[in-house]
Amino acid sequence: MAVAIVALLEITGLSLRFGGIEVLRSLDLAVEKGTIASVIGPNGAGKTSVFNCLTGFYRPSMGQIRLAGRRIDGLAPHRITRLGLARTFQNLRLFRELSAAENVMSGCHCRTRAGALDAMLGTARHRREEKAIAEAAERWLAFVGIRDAAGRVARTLPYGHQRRVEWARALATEPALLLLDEPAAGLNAAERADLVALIRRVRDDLGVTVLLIEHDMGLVMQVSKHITVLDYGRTIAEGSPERVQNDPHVIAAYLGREEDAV
Amino acid sequence: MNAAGEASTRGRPVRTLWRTAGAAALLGVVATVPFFANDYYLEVLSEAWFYVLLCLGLNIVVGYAGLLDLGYAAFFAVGAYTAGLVTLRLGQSFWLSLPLAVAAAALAGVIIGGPTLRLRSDYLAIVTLGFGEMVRITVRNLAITGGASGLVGISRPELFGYRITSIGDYYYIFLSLALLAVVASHRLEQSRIGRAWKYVRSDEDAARAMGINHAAVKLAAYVLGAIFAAIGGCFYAAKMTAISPETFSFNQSLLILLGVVLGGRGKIPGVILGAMAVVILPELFRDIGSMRMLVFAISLLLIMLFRPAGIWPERWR
Amino acid sequence: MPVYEALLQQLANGLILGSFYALVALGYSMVYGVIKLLNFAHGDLYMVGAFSGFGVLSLVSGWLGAGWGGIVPAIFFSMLAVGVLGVVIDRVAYRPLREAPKLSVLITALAVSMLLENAALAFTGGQYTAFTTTLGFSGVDIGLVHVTYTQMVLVGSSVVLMVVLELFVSRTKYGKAMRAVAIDEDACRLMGIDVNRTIALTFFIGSALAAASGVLAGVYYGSINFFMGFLIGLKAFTAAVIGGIGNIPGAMLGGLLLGLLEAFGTQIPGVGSEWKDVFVFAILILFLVFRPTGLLGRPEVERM
Repeated sequence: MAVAIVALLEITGLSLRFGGIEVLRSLDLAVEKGTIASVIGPNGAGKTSVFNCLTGFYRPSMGQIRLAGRRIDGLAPHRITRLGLARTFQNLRLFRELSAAENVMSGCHCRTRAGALDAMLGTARHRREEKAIAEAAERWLAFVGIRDAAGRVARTLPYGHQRRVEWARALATEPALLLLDEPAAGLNAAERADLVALIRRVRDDLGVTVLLIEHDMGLVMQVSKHITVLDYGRTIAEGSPERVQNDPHVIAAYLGREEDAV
Repeated sequence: MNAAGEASTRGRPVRTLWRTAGAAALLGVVATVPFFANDYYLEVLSEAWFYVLLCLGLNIVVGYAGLLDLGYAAFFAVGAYTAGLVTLRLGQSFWLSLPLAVAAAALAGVIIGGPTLRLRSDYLAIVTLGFGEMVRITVRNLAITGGASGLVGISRPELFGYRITSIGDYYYIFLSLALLAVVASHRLEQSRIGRAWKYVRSDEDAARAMGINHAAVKLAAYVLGAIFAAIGGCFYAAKMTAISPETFSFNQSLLILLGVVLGGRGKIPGVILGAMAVVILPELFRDIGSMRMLVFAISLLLIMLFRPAGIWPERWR
Repeated sequence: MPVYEALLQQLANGLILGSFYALVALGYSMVYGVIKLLNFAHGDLYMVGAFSGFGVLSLVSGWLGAGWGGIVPAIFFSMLAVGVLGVVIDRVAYRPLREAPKLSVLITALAVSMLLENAALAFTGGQYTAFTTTLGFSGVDIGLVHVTYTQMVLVGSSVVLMVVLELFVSRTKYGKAMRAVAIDEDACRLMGIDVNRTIALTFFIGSALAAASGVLAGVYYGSINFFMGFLIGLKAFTAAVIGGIGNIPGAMLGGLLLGLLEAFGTQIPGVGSEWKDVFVFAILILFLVFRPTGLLGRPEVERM
């Protein structure tokens, strides 16, 4: 297996059980810093479960996860985010009754410190941070292209815009690694093109490493430097887009699960 | 743009001017009440301001953080009994009881909040009820807290040689506390922690994914609410000079909750209205006296059934 | 009383107490199972049951006497009346709020509870009402412990009710519907099960059981008051949690266990009857922290 040169994320031997079902089996995955990588695989292969383990919502039964060399498996979700790992959700989990700006501001929480006492006393730190948070929200919304939606309640925005709010929110946590869970789901062709551009800008302008789960092969092949293919909870192939496209195991996994010989 | 992304009111100076003028006038009226009202009205209004303080405190827990605390009177008891114990058993000045009560309340908030953090809202409600009862039973059983008859003869506080004894004095104290509570609540609502409460209330897991420590945030709500109640409790003890366990029953927690909910919203003006209604309405309709809780119950039921979209429109778990 | 006898006495007390708790806990658990709501007013239905039982007994004691002849009809009619009351409460207060945020429903349940308690308060003026029966104290003696026939019948009736309930839930189609709704309400709708009616039935049964418990408690303790539902509501909740909420055998087990724990708890030095409620709440909190799914419940796995 190819070893990434500067691995920002290293997953080794990750296993996850739910009751009697083994969802992930000794999975290995590495993501090179400053690149865009993808995880693909048939439905039920365990892709979202990997994300949930990465973000601390699932506790793996075995294995290690390292972010920039530091172990993060077993840590609480909010600590993992503070260490620089952010995610978006497959089914959008915005704070629906709050405005787009307020949604984005939630990402700023972990990068600021003013507490209840600061708030009640109106300290300088409080005022300074409030100003910075408001500006940051505006900036991130502009970065994803929906600056004018700031004051609108999230629930009232069109789907494509809601997705962008979620990206802005994740970016506001200033991550080193951004996990995108099926970011292209429900987008039309124009929006998908925007997504490709956005993902590249995140890598180039912000220096953030991106890991996506996707079913849209076109998108995956277009943006990824490295692709990992999962099936039945383990890695069955990985490499550059060209390599993976022609891998017989991958083709078998997608075409005929009954006859795959993994 | 201000923090909520809304257009600022920079272009509307006249409206804000009217608002401040109105608030100032109201404040003026309210502050001069002791000069022209008799003792009875002063008592009722003092109690009303006291409930405003308590209801705003509970509003932090229920309204902002979305935690249905049915044992809030326990924190009130902590404050009152701390004042009683400090003055009667330790023989110290009343003013020492304030920082001690705040510390005790913070501790109580952590003890009560800790086990309940992972609980669903209905479990949480009953457990906090249980805690409230435990506190009441404890102060009722222990000799040091005076048992079932409570503590009597709590000494009045002194400020630069002036003994704070008259009804007018306590009117101003509770009015000031209520005003401080309003300012503190408002600032909390519009702050980083206020937003964190909204996020955790709206979708706890999404909030955690955004780096928010939901446990710390919820505990902060309990502790802050507890502190409001405890400070109120101290001054309550000073005013009444006698406290007994029955004051801190579930009924009391319920009355405070009523004040928060009756006003129709978890917002500050609504809570103030609700608190005042809880105190003043039974006085206005004295003839229904013992039926007042029944009337409240029916009103509460009607409000819950007919108020559209509920009181807190955000989605819960 | 020597230790052996004291423990035996507490065993008897515990079983009786436990059967009251179990009957009320059953209703709590069942309703929670179908609508995922802790009905605050449930304990108060126990209180209303006790009062209606008292009312019926007063009415019929002229012809049937105030012994079991009068008590049995009292239980029967009380169960019927309070069962209907439970259905009405669901229809009026909870059904309109099925889709509402959790907090709103909880507060509504609280309002209903307040309403019942204060209505009873207005009715009785806050006085304790004597529940007089002509049941004697005859019974059997085991050493120094005297177990009356009344006590045996009380425990027996509770057991009978619970067995009937278990059979109903596991054997009849209505019972199956109740279990199905508890698992997946939307799937039930798709399968043509009338969810609202099933829920109403659950309320009926749960409330009737609480009423029965109330009448039996009135018979046993000899007096009833408007506030008796409050404490039992909390304890029935504790029992339901111990056994595993939403679980019928669990509620029975939890109720009995709690009764026994409380009875034996009063014998622990330092606890006594003053602190027994605190003891019970402490148990509740321990369970909620360390074993929230109870003894018989299955741990839920949440998939994101």
